[in-house]
Amino acid sequence: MTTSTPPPDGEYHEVSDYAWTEKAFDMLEQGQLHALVVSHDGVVRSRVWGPCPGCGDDLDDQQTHTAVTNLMGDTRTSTRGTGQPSSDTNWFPVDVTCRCARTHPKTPSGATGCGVSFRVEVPVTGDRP
Amino acid sequence: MTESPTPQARKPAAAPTPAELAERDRFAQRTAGSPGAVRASAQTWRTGLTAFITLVTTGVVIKGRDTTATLDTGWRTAVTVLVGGGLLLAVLGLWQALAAEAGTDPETQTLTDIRAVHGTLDAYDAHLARSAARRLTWGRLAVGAAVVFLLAGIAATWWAPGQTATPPAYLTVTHDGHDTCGTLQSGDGGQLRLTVNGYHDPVVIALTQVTNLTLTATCNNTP
Repeated sequence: MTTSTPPPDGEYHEVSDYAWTEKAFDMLEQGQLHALVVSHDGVVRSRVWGPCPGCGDDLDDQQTHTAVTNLMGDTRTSTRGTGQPSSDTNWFPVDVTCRCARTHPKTPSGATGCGVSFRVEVPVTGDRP
Repeated sequence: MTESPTPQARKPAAAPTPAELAERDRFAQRTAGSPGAVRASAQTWRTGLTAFITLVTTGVVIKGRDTTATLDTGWRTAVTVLVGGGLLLAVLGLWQALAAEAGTDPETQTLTDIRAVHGTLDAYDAHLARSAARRLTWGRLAVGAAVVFLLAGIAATWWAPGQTATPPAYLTVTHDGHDTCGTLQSGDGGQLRLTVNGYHDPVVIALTQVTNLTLTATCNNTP
């Protein structure tokens, strides 16, 4: 379940409202949270690490944003993005969900972290995707 | 892993929606499945190409000599180039499909090596899948070109004019204890008239003197 209310202290609660994205941005600006998007040989990956904006526990989110698609036709690699204008493609959005190591109360089976999701946008480094 | 954080960030215009988060997770599954998907696709292509090459080899190579034996040299050369090139391209395509499926350059790497170059193991897998997909694309292009070459080669055998027939054109006449070889001009009035190399006028031989007649492709007699 996703709501716009902040999670009660310490409990697992799936939230992704804009306040967490803003808080993550503030933490990036202050150098508490770190984000990196790298393109190497056509494969885009990201890493977001530092304290979780929701629970403050350490998170280290690593994602690969490139997959081989359309094998039935022209084989190509696709990079997930948000369809922004081409003049703006240097900025890459990364959606992060807290998967910190601490087991929060009321965490559903199979889930980890505190449940907070947020978005960061950082420029792509390395060769372009 | 030691990585320097990007010094600047931009405030996103919107937060991720639940649908976008679900899509992110689905895309992650697709990324993880890329190597397997490419391998499965390459396997299918490899099987198809193997059958294709077997069919063509049976039909063209074994039957090919009978088909091309009667062609002029120019046409035979063209058919050889087309069919040979087509088979070569088909083999190259098969090789690329095999390489996409099984790989061609095994090496040992430590996780540290992989992290140093690709960052994460998932990114390395995506890189391998991308390389395999490229090979598969080249393989398919090679097979497409092979089909064009082979069809052109087969069509050339259909349309090529046959080699000019060269039946035995000379007559060797045995008479009076020796042979005279030449082109038959006429045989009437009890006489044979042969045009013999080195003689201006036809050589006339009475039929009563002839003891044997033989058709030959060439004449060895000297004037």
